[in-house]
Amino acid sequence: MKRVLVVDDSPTVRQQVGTVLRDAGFDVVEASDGAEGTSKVAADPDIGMVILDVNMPRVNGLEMLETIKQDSRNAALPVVMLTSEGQLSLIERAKRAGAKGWIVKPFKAELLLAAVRKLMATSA
Amino acid sequence: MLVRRLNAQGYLVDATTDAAMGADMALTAPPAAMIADLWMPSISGVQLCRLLRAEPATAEVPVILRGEDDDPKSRFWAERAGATAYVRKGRMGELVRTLATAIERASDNEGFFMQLSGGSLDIRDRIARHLDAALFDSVIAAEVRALATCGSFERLFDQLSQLLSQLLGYRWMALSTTSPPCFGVHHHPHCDEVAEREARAALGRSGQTALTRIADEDAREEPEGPEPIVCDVPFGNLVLGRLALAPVCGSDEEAARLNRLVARELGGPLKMAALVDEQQRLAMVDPLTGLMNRRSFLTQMKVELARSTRYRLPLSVILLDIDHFKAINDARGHAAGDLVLTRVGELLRGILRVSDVSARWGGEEFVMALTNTDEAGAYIVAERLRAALQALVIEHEGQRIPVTASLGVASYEAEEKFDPLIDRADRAMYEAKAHGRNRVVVWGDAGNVRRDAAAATAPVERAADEPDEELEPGPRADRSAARAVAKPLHEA
Repeated sequence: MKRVLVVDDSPTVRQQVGTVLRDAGFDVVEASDGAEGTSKVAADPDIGMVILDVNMPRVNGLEMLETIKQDSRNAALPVVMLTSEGQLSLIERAKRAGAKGWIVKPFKAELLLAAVRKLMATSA
Repeated sequence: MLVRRLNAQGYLVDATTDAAMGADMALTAPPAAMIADLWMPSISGVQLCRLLRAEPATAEVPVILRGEDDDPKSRFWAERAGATAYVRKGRMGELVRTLATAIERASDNEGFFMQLSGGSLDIRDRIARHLDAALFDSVIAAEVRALATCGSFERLFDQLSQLLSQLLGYRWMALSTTSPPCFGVHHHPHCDEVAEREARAALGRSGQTALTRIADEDAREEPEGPEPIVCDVPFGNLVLGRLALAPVCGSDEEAARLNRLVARELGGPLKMAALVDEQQRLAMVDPLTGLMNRRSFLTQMKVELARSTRYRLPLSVILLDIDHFKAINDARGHAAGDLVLTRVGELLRGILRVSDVSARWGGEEFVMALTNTDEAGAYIVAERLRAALQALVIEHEGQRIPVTASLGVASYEAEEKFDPLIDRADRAMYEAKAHGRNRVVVWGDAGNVRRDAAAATAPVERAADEPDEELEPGPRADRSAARAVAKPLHEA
């Protein structure tokens, strides 16, 4: 399914990413922190991709990533981090936890789309 | 043409003639490999390569640099810049093969991609920043290597703590070595227990290991922080020790980098310090005065006492302590103090005979063993020394340093060991100090102290230089150094 979950505590970012994806034909759902994001992934099997911020209240992006990847049903679910962080140690942590990519904000729409398309295609 | 050839091989190629653009493209969407010319008009392939190596997004991307000729210098720089390979221009086949190998060898990222902040900062600025960082690193490396002149672990650790605390704020810093076993911790004065405990734990040092402690405010007073970072200090194939840093919050990446950099360079200086320490322990000569050191003097004394006993020859000891030496150091500086010690050493060597043994006994103390000399004869020599020292002109920075000494004399009694003998000379010397200094006191029979002045007995002939009889081979370091200009003590 062509549904993308966008998890970010900033409504502006959710709107920006959402617009880019919707214009390209994807179905978009949103969450504002890691806890909400985790429940949505668990509840909705049609989510084919997650775009995940790192710095969020309650449960941050890396914690959410590690949590959902512990569920074997999510092993093939592609997750891309979209964040203003650029620290190598965090990138390594995401890689180890099973993320497929790391994009530093501000993002370029074409590049984000290209990544989403490629990852959705390979996991389909 | 290159692009066509690569396309034909099945590669998807992005190409540009502008190096800055190329760097930007590489950083934004890291390619499987990059090919660049070594020397380009604005930014060289070397700089490009270093930039890519320094950025996490492209650190693993193989870079192939092409050069005009097989100049070994070009190859050298290409390698140092971190290029995967260097290929001569025109060697198409070689290039394609090298490319294929490089891509195959490159660590498989399993499709993990990165898009980092490309384009937001001018490429030239980034290159400049990375060059600065590289320069900064090499300056730090050089400063660490310069610690090789520290002759001891304590001094090295002190200077290391000064260097590191300028570069990074930390809660504590510790260094430990295995042979010889040394352990140093630098921390804030209010954090001694915590820092010591954490450092011991981090470096695996039990409570028994003696500690070189530096407590000052260059270390930060923060009770908690991230886990300490520990790095091995290599020296060739060995690990000499370990360096640990306890960073303050938020600086752990920087601390890890610095710790790695410093630990890499610390091996040479640590090895030097250990060697110098050992050499000084083994040395027989006091480096400042050239006289024997205490250790070798004691070894020699065993021989002399044995000889005295065997041949029933008298033996006397003079202990000389420079008056107010601490005051000289405080008032005129340590260089002046050292000069005084050197001059006194010279004086001793000038006055004593070849067969006498003289040594630096302590900080401002000298000891002399006069062979075949009884108490009276020793007294005369001591008095000569005292007078000569008082008359000696020592100039430092244009000003005279007046120097006197207090001397104690004692004679050997048959069969005794050295300790009681030196003990008596010591007590005699203290008497001299207690009674006004700049005088000679002789420790007479039965604990009576005979002071100076006219109470000298009938002059006793002191044998002139005789050929030395070797009782058994022993160190004669000082003898060769002694000037044999022994004026006869009595103008008979």
